[in-house]
Amino acid sequence: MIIRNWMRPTPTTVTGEMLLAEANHIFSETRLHGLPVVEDGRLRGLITRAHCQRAAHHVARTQSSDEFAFFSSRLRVRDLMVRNPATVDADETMETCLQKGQELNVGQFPVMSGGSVVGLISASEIFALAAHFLGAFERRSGVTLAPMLLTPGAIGRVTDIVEGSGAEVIAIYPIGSGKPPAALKKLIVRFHGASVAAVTDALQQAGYTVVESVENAHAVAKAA
Amino acid sequence: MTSRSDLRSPPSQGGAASGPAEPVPRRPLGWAAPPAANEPTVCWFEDCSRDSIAEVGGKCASLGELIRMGARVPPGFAVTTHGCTRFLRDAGILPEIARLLDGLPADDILRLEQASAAIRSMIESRPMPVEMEDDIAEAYRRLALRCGLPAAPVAVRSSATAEDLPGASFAGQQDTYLWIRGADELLQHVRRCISSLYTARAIGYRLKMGFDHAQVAISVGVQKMANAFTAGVMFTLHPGNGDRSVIVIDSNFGFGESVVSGEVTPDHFVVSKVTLDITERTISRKEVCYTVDPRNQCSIAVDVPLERQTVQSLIDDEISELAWMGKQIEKHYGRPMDIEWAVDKDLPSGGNIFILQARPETVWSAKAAAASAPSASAMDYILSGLLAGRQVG
Repeated sequence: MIIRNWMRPTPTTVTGEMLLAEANHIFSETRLHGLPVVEDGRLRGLITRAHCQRAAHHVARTQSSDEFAFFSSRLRVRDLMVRNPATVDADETMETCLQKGQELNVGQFPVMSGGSVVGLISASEIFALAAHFLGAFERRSGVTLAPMLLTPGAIGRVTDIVEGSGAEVIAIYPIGSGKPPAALKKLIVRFHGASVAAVTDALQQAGYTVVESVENAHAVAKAA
Repeated sequence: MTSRSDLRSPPSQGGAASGPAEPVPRRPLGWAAPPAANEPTVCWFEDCSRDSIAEVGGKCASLGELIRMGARVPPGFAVTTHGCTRFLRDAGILPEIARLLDGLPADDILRLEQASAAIRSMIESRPMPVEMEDDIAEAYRRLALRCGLPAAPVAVRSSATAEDLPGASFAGQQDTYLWIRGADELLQHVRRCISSLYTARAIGYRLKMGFDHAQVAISVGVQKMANAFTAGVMFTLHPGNGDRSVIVIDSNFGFGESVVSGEVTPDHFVVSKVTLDITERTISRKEVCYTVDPRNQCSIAVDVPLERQTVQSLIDDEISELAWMGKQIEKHYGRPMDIEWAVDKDLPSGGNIFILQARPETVWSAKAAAASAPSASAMDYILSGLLAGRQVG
C-alpha cells in the first residue's frame, strides 16, 4: 500500500515556458487530468485539465479575436498553473494520500521522491485502487449488514456464519459513515460460492440485519 | 557566513505549504531567523486599511480603505513592504546600494542619475526568490480567476510608505506600469517598481529632506486594469484657490496617465458640492490619449481622432455620479481628497465608474492645518476657521 506501487510512474511533465495551447493539446490527445510543471528538475506547479478548460471558456466568452490570439499565442503554462501544489511522497501510504485528498479537496497529487517528481496520482489511480480492493473483476457475491458495534470477535462470528452456510469469505470491510466515522459500522461481506439467499438466511437467523445483497457483482433486488 | 545558495529552501520543501497538517519550516536550519520571515508577501486590498500603511504603503492602504467604505474599486493585491525588503535583502545587494549612496550630494543631478541607474539595473537583474515569485504569481492567478480572464491585465504601481502621507508630497516619484499581462511580465514590473525606490528624484528628495534611505520601504500594488474609455483626476476642493464648496474634475479619453502626467490639457469641470450641478466647463483640444494596443496587449499613446478632439470626454451624468462618489469619499476620510478615476468601456453605464486611487490632498490641506479634527463636519471646519481668525474659502 505504498504510493510508489500505485502511482502512474514517469508522468508526462511540462515546463512553465510552454504555451498553454500546447498543454491544451496534450490534454486533448491524452486522458491525463493533470501535468506537473517541472523546471530544472524541480516541481514548480501543476496545471490541470480543468484550469485549461476554464481559461478557454473565459476567453471564448469575450468573443474578441484579440483575446483568442492572446490565448493561443501568448498565454503560457506558468500564467495558469497552481504554484506550490500539494504533493505526496512516494514512500507514503495510499491511506495518507486518500486522507490528504479528502482534507485538501484536491483530485491529483504529483508524487515526489528525493526532491523530484517520480509519478502522479489522479482519479485513474484511485479508480484502480478501488477496483482492486473491491475485486471488481472477480464477480464476487456479498451482503451488507446494518450498522453494528464492532466488539472483538464480531467479525469472526460473522465469518463463521457465512462460511457455515457453504460460502468462502474473501473480504470483510467495516465502514463507518460520516466525519468522524461513527462508532457503529456497517459490515460489507464479500464471498464466493453458495447462494446469496442461503447466506442471507443464515445471517438473519443469527440476528443480523442484511441491508444490501449482491450476486456475482450485480445488485439483488430486495424482496419487498 | 552562509552563502547565498544556503539561504534558499531545498526544493522538496516547495510542497510543504500545501499540507497545513505538517508545518515544515520553510527555511533550513542555520538561517538566522529574520524578524519579518513570517510576514505575508502579498495582501489583498480588501484586507488593507488605513492602519496598514507600514505593510502595504499609502496607495494600497487607501485602496483597501476605499473598498471597505463601499467604493467601486477594481480588485487587486499588494506585494507587502516585508516582501520587497526581503527581496532586496535576499538578493544581497543592500551593502552595495549603501555604498553607492554614501556621500552623494543632494543637488548633483548627474551623480544622482548615475547612482540611480546603477542601483536600478542591479535590482532589476536580480532573480526573485522562488517562494516570493510563487506567492505573487499565485495571487495573480487568483486575481485573474476573480476577473474571469486568464492572465488578466493589471496596473502595477509602487506604493511607498512615505508617499501620499499628509505633509510629505512624494506623489508621482515612483513608477506606474499599465496593462501588464502574464506572470513573467508582472514579476519583471514588480521588480521595476521596487527599484523605483531609487530613482534619482527619490534619492535626491530623501537627501534634501533628511530621510534615511533605509527607513523608506516600498510596496507594490497590483490592480485589475480598468479598460478606460475616459479617465482622469478629481479634487474635492478647488486646487487653484482651495475652495471646499466645489469638486473639480479633469478628464481625457483613454487611461488617466495623460491627465496625471500633464501631457494634455484635459477637459475641466467644476461641480458644486451641494447641488452636484456643473457650474463651469472647459472643453479643450485633446490630441493624444493612452489606450490598449489589443494586438500586442500593451499600453500605447494614440492620436485622438480629429472629430473627437474637441468633444466633451465625460458626459454630464457621469460627471454628477463621479462628483457624488467624490463627496462620499471625502466624507469618509473627513478631509479634501485627490482621486483618480476611470470609466470602463466594457461595462454598462451605471456600474462603469471606478475609483483607482484616493489620497489626501496635500497642498491646501497643509496650508489649512487648522484646529479642526479630521472627521469634523463642514460646520466644525468653518467654526474652527472663524475661531482661528482665518477667512473661509
